[in-house]
Amino acid sequence: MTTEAAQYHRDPSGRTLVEGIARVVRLDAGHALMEPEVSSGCKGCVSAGLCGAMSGGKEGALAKRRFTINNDRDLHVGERVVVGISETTLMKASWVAYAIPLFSMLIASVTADLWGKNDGITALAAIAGLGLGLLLARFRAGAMADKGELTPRYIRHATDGESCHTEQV
Amino acid sequence: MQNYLLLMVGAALVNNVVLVRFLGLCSFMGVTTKVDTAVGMGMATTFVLTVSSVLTWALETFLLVPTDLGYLRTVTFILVIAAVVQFTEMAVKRISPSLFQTLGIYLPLITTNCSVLGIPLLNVEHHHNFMQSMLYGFASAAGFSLILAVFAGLRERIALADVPRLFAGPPIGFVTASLLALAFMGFSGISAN
Repeated sequence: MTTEAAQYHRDPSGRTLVEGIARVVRLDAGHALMEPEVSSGCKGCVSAGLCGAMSGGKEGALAKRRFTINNDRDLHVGERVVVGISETTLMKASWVAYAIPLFSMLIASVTADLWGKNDGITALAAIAGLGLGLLLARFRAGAMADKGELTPRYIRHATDGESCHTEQV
Repeated sequence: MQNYLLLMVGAALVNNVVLVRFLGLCSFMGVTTKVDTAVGMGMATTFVLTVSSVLTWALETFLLVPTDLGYLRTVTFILVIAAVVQFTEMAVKRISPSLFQTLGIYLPLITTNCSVLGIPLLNVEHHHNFMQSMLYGFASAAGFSLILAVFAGLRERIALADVPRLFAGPPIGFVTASLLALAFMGFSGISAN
């Protein structure tokens, strides 16, 4: 890998972007529906046959991951573009989706264990904590989506043969 | 409480799932090219592994042991893990479709991660109760995430280094991982658990 390949794109506020390649599958008023490509790393994986990203349900799995971006670059159906989302957003999204429900479940069950020392009560507290955590995560994710933080942005058109893990020199 | 803390330190550092037990090496090498993807994968694994540990404990305690069906343990645990991954996918999609678009990519990888099966089986072997099972699963996954993040940071630096052509890519990755595993052997003096 060259030093050029290690240069990352940044958004207007200077945050590093995580990139991926997606194909335009449909155009709506001012928006483009994008389908992400399977990364080249997936193609070489020995578990590809078992994995939802590459198995017989590949088309369905990719269709589930479709997303929209603003079509202010006059994109056309079939074009491949590089899209990105900021690293900070990815980290925040991970915290919201996984850490909030998980810590809520742990806190509830540790509290119940200290209080009751009974596996049944602790298990019930864990379930209640998980439910509460999922509810909190939903509110927080809704706030992030309303601000548009979770929407990937257009970076540039992909070059021929370029894939997720293709280093550009 | 002190027992729980010792159990967690033992699971996360002393018996680290990647560097001591050598489980989950596929995703360890596959998703550690960048720190942010490693953290995303680590958090998804932590959630799935903790919930799987809890559910497999319930399955073992209330179904497999009373009905003397211990020989079905591995098969049923695999089913439970696949179900938890599906549940997580549905839950994240329900919480926020945008969040699912951002993070959904890591979830199918967890189904084929052997550490997610290995930890519930170790819970049974160690005869852990509910709380111990949950904390052991959580701490093991936290150790897994820690190693993913540390190794991703190292690989980002290696990517900028002048590595001989024959060692470039996975070979230098494995050499680095073995040095990291040697460093983690130092923790084995802390606790016998």
